[in-house]
Amino acid sequence: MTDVERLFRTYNAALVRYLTRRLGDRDWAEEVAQETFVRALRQTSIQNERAWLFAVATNLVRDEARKDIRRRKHLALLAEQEREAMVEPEETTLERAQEAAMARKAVDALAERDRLALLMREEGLDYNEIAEALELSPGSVGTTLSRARRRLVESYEALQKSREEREKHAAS
Amino acid sequence: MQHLDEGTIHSWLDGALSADEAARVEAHVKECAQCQAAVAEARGFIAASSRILTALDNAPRGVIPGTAPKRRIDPMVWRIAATVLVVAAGTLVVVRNSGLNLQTASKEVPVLTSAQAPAPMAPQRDTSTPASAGSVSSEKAPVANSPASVSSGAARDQVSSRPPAAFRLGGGAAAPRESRPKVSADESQRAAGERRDLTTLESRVGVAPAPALPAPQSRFEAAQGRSANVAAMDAAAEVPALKIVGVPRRAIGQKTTSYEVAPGDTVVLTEVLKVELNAVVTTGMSLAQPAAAGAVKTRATAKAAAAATDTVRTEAARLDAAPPAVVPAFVETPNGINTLTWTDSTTGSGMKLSGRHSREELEEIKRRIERARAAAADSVKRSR
Repeated sequence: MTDVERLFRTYNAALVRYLTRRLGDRDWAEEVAQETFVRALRQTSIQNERAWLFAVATNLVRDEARKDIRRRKHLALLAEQEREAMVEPEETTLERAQEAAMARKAVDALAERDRLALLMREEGLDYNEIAEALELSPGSVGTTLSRARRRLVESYEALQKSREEREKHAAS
Repeated sequence: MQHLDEGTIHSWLDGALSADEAARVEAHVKECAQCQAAVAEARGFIAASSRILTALDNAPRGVIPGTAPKRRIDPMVWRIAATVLVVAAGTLVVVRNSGLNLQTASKEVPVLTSAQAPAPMAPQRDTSTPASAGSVSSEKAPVANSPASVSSGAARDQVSSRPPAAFRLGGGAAAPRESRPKVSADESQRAAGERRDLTTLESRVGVAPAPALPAPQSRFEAAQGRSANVAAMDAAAEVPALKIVGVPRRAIGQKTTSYEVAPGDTVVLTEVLKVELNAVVTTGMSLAQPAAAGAVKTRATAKAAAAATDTVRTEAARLDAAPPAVVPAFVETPNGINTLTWTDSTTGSGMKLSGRHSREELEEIKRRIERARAAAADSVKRSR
């Protein structure tokens, strides 16, 4: 197993989930993740793999970087294999779709740095990795995360409340 | 020790503090109720934000923003709408025809038909079938009861002597455009007379029921009289009934129908439905009785005696004072498609007829459509 394959198998799922949550589109997320692994190939050594991968992926999203099509093809094949092994998510119900839409809105309402820190934390990155990927001081990650979580939950609950009021209004 | 700040609490809960720091925080939290509450709140935020983010994981592939899936309307809605329409159309028939005298109609028909080589009756089946089969009587068979089969003897003979080609369903060559008679001035004037008749009838009905004229002996006789009149009206119009060629666009509360006037020549009728079932039913009942009671003597004359245009003209002149409530509005556009709008006097629906025709032609088509609809609704009613 080559080094990039090991990286891919270790981090792809988390990276794709992180990017999907960030971008709201699974295909786009997979593209960016693949591009991230292509970039990893060019590196002679990476100190903290996970922090590096998440940082690069984040920058790729930001820069809309160009893609190396030839190398991505091999990775697309790997992604296909992984997808086949995965269990298909159950059918999206209306309720779930509404929840997803509200979650999307609440996440989009966060400041970029807060949002990225939170999404990285959800993928298991520790405070040092988050600090490295986002070029923050390790001491400020706790504050960033606490702010991100509070705002996310509060805006989600506000959306939920206004939706319930709308439904009540519609019913009466 | 100071109270813990939120960032420290989250760091502690995330396991990001050093062993020393973690021990200090733990010791403080044990003793400080305020910080215990803050920790509980932070745990809540951590759990809730994880849950919220999980909702994003079923993100669809290849999302293009702004393309929501097309909403499909429940077929039941169409059924209800169609039912309302048929009830409304049935109401129209009652008001239009119930006052007409059977004898007058059947006497007039043969004269007209033999003298003027009228159009085939058969296409009328075509128009009545989709309207009735659409909803109300899917299990009944309205086709067998189409107006022609119950109409007066003359009309029936006429049907049976038609060449079979005329019966072909959807036969495109049923009515070549050249054979369609031009609308004469007389005819359009007669149309104006009819409209005013309807107006007077309604205003009379609305104010006080007219004195009782001899009503039909039975329901059956009344129905026969109606269908005979429908047939007579078509015969008198000297044009084939219109064929419905499609229902191109659909929207709630609105029905759009394409009629083929001649091969390759279609007009579009848009009806803004009043979807208030109660109102429609009530209207039907309250209008049916007084209308049957009479007040339509002038209508009978004007409509059936198409040959005696002089009489009609005097009628029309006499009725000039009638309120112009149902006089259609006409809109001309540079692209050649003209639109006639009016309010259906019976249902109150807003009607719009568009096509590449002159105003006279559109008004004639309007009358033909109304007749076809009346006939269709009539046959549905009787098949029940």
